[in-house]
Amino acid sequence: MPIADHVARIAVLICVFGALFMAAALLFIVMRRDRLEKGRRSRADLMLALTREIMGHLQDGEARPVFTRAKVRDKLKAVSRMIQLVRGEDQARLIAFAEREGLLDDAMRAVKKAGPREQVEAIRLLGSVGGERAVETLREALHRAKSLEVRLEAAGWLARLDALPDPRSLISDLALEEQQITPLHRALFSLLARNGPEQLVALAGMPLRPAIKALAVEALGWTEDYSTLRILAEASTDPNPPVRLASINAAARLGHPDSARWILPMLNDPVPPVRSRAITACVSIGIAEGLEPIRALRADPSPWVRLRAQQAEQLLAATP
Amino acid sequence: MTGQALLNMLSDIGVTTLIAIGLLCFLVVTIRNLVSTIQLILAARIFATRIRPARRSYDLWTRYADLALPVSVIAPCFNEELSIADSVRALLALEYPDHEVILVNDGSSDGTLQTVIDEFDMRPIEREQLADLQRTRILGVYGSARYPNLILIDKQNGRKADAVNAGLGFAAAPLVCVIDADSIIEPDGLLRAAEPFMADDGRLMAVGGAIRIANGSIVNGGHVREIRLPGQWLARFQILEYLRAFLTARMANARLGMLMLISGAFGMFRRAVLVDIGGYRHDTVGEDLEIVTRIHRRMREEGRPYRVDFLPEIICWTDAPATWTGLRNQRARWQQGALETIGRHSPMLLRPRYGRIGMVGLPLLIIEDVLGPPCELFGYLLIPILYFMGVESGIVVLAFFSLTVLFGTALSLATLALEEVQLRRTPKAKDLLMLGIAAIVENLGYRQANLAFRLYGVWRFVKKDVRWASAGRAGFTRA
Repeated sequence: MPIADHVARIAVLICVFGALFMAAALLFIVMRRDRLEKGRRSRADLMLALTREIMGHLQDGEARPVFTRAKVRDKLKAVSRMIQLVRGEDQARLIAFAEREGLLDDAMRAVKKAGPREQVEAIRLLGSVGGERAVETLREALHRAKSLEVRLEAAGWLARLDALPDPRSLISDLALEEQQITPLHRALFSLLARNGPEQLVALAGMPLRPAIKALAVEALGWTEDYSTLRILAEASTDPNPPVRLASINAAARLGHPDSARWILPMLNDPVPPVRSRAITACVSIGIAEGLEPIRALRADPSPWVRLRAQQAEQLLAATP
Repeated sequence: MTGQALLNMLSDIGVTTLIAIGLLCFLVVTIRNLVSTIQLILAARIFATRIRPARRSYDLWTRYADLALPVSVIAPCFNEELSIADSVRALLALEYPDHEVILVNDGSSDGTLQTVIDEFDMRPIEREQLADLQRTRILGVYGSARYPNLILIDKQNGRKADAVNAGLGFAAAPLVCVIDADSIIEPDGLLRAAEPFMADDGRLMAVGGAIRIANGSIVNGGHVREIRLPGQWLARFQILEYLRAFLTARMANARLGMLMLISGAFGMFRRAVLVDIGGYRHDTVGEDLEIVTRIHRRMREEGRPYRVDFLPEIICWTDAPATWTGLRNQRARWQQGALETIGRHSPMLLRPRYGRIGMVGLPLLIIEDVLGPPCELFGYLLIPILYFMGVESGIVVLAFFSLTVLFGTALSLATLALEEVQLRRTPKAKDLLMLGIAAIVENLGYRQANLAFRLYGVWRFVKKDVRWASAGRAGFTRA
């Protein structure tokens, strides 16, 4: 028999075994899915039983046979679901319960030791439960994690838990002096504003690179503190366009009519995005005096400015 | 030399030539299979190690509601009178804090325009066109009295690329999402697609999502209400093909910085880059492949750092061809589009200046789209010919076909397993089994027919036939 036929026989044999293996693999996947589908009901029942027991235990210290037998993963799932539904003291009691039962221990260990994927998963878990120990671990991750992506995730969850560090630490932890500023960074700074304007005002006055200064100035808009208007007015004459843009954004968010006196001159700013943003700020604050200069901008060389002027004219003219 | 000897010599030369061509074809097919295997392994690794995006849209909402970049959703439509109202409602209902819908009526000859005007209380408005990219005349711009974020552009017919360009000219948001009006984005699709841009430092130019087949699923009000496996085998084969294309090839290519195709049915782009490169080309039937290739080319030529990404969690549902004729037209168009793109961007080929795109991406596209289909089809024909000529035995023929079927099935099953473990979007265990069976059956006719359809595309390319042949879609199953 020629060699080709021998090789062909071996190939056919491989195909036969390969086909058997694939049939077994397909069967395994299908059976696995079938088991998951059938187990869905019992998992729902388990969650219900765990929820009842945890609630009962927290209120009256009831016995909890299902909870004792359940896996940590299921217990944690039940607790994190319940935490989304309760507030105040009930939430604090649940968090204390989770900490006491050691439900967060694995996640805390993972944040410190595992790879980025596991770290992020653990951070999400801790962030969804909250509590002092979780915040402590998240802060540590923000400060020490090797991956910037992991740090950013930790910062995002700390922001949700209202536990972000001060702006200077955040800049250092997220390496913002070297990194490009993204919308996510802007969101973090806007959440920092909840803690009051003092630190942001101090930051805005420091000799920082324009992108960071713009970050601080824009965040002032979220402080709901009109005393910051003075800082914004100063920023409106900054030589760097991103800072000027940030000052308009912040003023538009604060919505105080006093800012009109420095926003109106910005309609003639040499940089088109600043002019364009000044137009939209006039609309959102309701600066009627802006209508005439905005009409003049319908002939602006920038199509963006013309578009915003067109839209603003329609809106301002309709305002009584 | 006697006549018989001459005949024998010519016969030997003929057989040797056939075998030589056969070996060349075998080499091309082997490279294709090797590439598919590498892509599968790489995709599995990426799925296993990547940081997953937020699991539920609720998480995305809570995180990004305040910082979401505005998005202009551009939806070109042509003769979609019956479904357009549902499609627009679904687009307006997308979960996103700040999006405008720009509907472009591409010179429909039915009542599409009037339906939109009536249903959404559209009135003529004045709106600055920021970029003039279309070639046809704009007939009117309308704004909705009820939905401030809905704009309708009525224009002369000029095909999809021209319609998207018209919409792009009016888009004012930094991100644009280009979709087919008859496709269905999952409600959180926009938020998921915009997510990578939120933490991006300006390098991300475009993000693509996975396209899934909605044939058989229940659609109501522009949403997929119940995912079901289609009853037709033709649609099931296409489900497997889409899974292979999106979950393995695009995942792997995106990670390697070689993603060259973002499906025309759904893609999110930075508006500035699309305008910068002049929008979609009007003279190709594969505008989606061409535009991403052009983005790569422009960025590489300007030496700008950039990336094009793919997220399997972004799901866009589409109606797949339900007939063989429709499938032929669609596949021929894809093939023709690929050849047009390769021809237009051939200066990038094997030029180190274009990095991985020029050195690997385009050559692979050539192997896949230029050499692959004729080589594979030739292989299917050559083996029986050699058998009947007595050059090879029956066992060799059997081995060839067995290996072909085994390899094709193995790739499909492995992709199916990957999908089941990572995403689990197949509705039921029974459906998983049916898809598993389809993975075997598709090798016995469907795959070969597809190769023939692609050769038909080559023929159309050679003939420079740019007529739009309908893909013969059946329409969504409504509740």
